[in-house]
Amino acid sequence: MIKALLKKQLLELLSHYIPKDKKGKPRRGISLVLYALLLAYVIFILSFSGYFTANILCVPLSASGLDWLYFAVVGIIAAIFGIMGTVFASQSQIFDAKDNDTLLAMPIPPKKLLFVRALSLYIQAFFFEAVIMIPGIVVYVLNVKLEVTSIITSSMTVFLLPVFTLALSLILGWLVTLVGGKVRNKSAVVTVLSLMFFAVTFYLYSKINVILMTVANNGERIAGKIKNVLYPLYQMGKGASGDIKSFFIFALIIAIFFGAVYFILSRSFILLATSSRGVKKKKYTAGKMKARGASSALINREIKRFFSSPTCILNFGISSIMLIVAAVFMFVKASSFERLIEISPEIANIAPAVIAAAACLIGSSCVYSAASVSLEGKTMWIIESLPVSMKSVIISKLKLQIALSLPAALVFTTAANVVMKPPLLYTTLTIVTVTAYFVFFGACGLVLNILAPNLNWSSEAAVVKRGMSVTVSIFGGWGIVVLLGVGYYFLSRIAPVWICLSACSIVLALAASAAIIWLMRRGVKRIAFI
Amino acid sequence: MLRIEGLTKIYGDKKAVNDLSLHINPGEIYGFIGRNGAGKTTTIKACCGILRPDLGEIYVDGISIKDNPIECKKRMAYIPDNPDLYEYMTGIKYLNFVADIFEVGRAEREELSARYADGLGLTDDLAQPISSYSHGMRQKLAIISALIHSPKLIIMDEPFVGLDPKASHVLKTLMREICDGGGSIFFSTHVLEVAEKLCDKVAIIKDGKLIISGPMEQALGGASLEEVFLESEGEDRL
Repeated sequence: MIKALLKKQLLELLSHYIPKDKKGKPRRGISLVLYALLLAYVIFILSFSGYFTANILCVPLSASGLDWLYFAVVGIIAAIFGIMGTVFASQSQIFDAKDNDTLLAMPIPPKKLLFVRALSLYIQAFFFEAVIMIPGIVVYVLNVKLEVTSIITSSMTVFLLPVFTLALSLILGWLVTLVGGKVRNKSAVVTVLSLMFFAVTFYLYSKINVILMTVANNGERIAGKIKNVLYPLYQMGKGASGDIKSFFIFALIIAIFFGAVYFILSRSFILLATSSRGVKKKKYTAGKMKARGASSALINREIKRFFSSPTCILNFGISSIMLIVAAVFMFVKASSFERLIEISPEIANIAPAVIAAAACLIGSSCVYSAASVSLEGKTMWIIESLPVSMKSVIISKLKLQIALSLPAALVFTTAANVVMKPPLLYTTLTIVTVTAYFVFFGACGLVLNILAPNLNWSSEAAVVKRGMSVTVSIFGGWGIVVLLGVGYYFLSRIAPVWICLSACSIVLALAASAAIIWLMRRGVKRIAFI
Repeated sequence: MLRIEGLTKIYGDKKAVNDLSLHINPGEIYGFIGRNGAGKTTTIKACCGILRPDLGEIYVDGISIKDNPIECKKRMAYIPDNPDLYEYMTGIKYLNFVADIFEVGRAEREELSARYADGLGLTDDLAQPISSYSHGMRQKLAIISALIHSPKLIIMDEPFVGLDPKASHVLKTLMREICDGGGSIFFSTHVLEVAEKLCDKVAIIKDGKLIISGPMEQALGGASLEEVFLESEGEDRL
């Protein structure tokens, strides 16, 4: 039984990471190769950042005889990564899994089902943590010692640590499920909880250098505190650095912790997975219905679609929030920027290009249009069977994309211009360039999604997070900004700033027009029979 | 009201629908029978402008669906076999959305949605998100949304699946009322007893080809629809 369940679970896990075509079949050929390259690139970047972080800590801590603290810190970073990667999967893949009812109706003991699901989550946690832990071990071996015991214990820790992460994710997923089940607006709760979680993570990440330097310089003082307060962490670090006794103590602590969580959850799993958790039913009382035009109904539909989904809000809305935060940051640090311009007046000349590039780079994660067709999913028949022109449907998607991305980008651009005080002509051209970019970017995302839609998804994360058109849009957007930057650099050697900025806006406006013309001519025909 | 002429749809090397022609007059309920995979849903989807035919023409109220799909869609309503609706809307918001698209006046949408929701027993649940609806409730909502704009032609794919006995009865009554008022209904079903009692005309499709079509009495020739259908299936009969 376990074998059959495990096979199903692994196939499901694998299917999350394999790109699909519009009929839900795994992609082959060049698109699969591109996807594999992209995955390898992400793994490389994460591993490289793990290696870089470990390098800062390794030598100073080891020189003070605090090898265990080095592994403890690397372990904490890895665990944070693991929790980030699995906490929401814990809710969607374990407690709210779509096949819970089907499987629980079969003669499968809930504890076995929970075990198999937890194992799948463990695999995900393992990969998230391994990209940090393995570079950490490599740095230690290269800089400190090549000792069989420490290699074995640290390698075993790579397998052991995700068990801790798994237990924590199970608890958090259980809490999110419980809280989400008690409130009417579940997506708002999930969004707020996620934003809080990301805010804390971003704050810690922005302070990472300070934290790492503090740990490296005050190792002994911190070590003393950890030994007393975070005993398991001390044993983990000591065990990973080669102390066999500590390794077994850590393993025992993890086993007891996970065992307790598993025992408690397996007893309540069937109740959690199948009950509606007491949301009070709201009885309809007939009232006045609001009539609006078809175009406004279509836009309203897109808005509802976006704001009903925490996945959409978190993935596509985060860059707009970051742009607003960056705008506030510009004002907070205004005096520093003013001083910078006083010291190097030539900065005023490159500032417009840097501001525009920053706005475009940060805002390029807002790619709702690149998922908007796929998000129709199995409801595509509705829009296809209604008497609406596909042009209106496309326009409604594009309007929402621009409304989500452009205002925040303009707030940042304006704030940065106010602080950096370039001439008015430069400010105007920067605003025009940023506007042209976001219209082009939104239209291109929609073109890509019409060309490569995926309507057969079971979890919207498949199109929002891992969709081919979304991935290509984000990286393509960054690539275009870099290309324009290179062009700007060479042009600026022979032409004044206003010509360079005008050239960028003209290129982007032309590209945006071409994309919109395609959408209005060929896009409307394609989307009608997707 | 609905004229299908030489409809052909090919998937790969398989002809899902092969040179199918049908004519549905105003006031008629036309049943469409066939085993799974016979080509019913493909035909229905082509009639609704969701699927592009490879050959043939479809006219709704004399208008070609190929040339003027929007005008055709304004005159008809479609209810699919498995109504996946917008889960992020409540039932009433979905009805309002459909009414907005069809530009139904406020008073009319209020009256029609109340009438059909009461009849099908969905009124109390209209404030619930569609994500909490059962299959039958979704089916009822899809039916109400199809009727809210008083279409001249209703095309339904397995409309009785998932409906409770009362809702089934109400739907049958509504179908007859709509056709008595000059509307037309084209629907597929596997419930042969219902088709036999309800339909004015019947068509049986096998492997994409229409093998029987015409007025019910003429098609049955004294036998039951079940007998005629099983006979048409020939060697596959158990």
